[in-house]
Amino acid sequence: MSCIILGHILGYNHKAQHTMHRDCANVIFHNYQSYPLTRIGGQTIKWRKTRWDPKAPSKIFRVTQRKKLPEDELREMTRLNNNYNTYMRAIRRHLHDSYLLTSATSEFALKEQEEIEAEHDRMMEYNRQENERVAKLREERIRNEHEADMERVKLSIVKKEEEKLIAKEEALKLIRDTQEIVKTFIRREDLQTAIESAIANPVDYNFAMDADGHIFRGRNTRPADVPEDEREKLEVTSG
Amino acid sequence: MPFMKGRAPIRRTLQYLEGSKLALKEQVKVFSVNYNIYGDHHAGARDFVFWHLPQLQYKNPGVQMATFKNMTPTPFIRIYLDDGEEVLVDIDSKSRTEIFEHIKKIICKTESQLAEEAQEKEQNPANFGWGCNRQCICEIPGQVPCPGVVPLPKTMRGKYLRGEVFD
Repeated sequence: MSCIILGHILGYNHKAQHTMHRDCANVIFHNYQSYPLTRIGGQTIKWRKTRWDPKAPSKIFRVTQRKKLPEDELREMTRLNNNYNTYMRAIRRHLHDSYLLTSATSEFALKEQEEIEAEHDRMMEYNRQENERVAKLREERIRNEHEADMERVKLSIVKKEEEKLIAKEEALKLIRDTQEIVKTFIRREDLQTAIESAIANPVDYNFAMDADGHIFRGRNTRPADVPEDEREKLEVTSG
Repeated sequence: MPFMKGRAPIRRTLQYLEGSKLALKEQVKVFSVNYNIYGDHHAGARDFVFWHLPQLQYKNPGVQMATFKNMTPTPFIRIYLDDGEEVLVDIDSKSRTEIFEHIKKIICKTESQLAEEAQEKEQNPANFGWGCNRQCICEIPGQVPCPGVVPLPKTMRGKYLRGEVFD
């Protein structure tokens, strides 16, 4: 039942209008739901009686008749309805079944899950074997490195020994030479005699050399004085 | 335009990152690499981390990637799965490509799986709107043409239906 509003807004927050009754004395305020517009721009209020609203006086003794469809129409309607329902049920079932096929708990999905796990196990196995292979190679490498280290250490020990020997030799040589030199030292007691002998025997460091490399020692020596056989020749050293 | 900064900045380009096929399986949660900065037998591990870790992280943003340097004498990769399983991969004296292939084989999604997922993600080509091939249904032949180009008939226009305008 829709009523066209002609009244004014009263009191309430939501617009409550009173209906146009013949007897305006009993005006009931009702809550209207929404305000759709009709074709000619008037508002229509959605109106239904609540449970406790009394029946209208004109309708108290009304007995409604069930609508009677002619028989063939009724048959046709039921036939169409049943067919439609059958089809819809079939489609819905089919879709539901195909959904079940791909769901997580279906056989197919479970099998897939098993396959995935098997694949994973295979991969882990492969990885383990690969690790073993690499472990062997690593051990090999470490062993080689260790051996190389030991070799190096041995060599260094030997070298050290050799160096020690050489150093020892050098030290001994030094001592021997010093001992030799010490013999030529002049002692305090022999100082006088040493000076006298030094003065008596002057050493002449002068020498001359000719183009062939013959050395003529002595300040006053002449090349002609020294016979050819006894001439000293400068040694040619390579380098 | 200046060069990109850093060593081998190609690693930071989208093309390089997108081009890798290293999508780890969903079970993987943490991917950690232990290697040294020195040592010949760590060279492969170093190269792998340098070249392929960015790609891995890009393709698997939900996985934690950790690197530990100079802690152990031999390099290895440890992968932690969500059921507590740990996968240890020994990468001593392996080259970068060997490590790459090995990882791809044991713990990455296969090419077929990736293709399947790409196909699933593909949009229904019949869709239209933002991000689809066709913007509006008016572009599709057989549908009502765009009212911006051809005005709608009066029976389809609200102002005539509601009686706001009479023509």
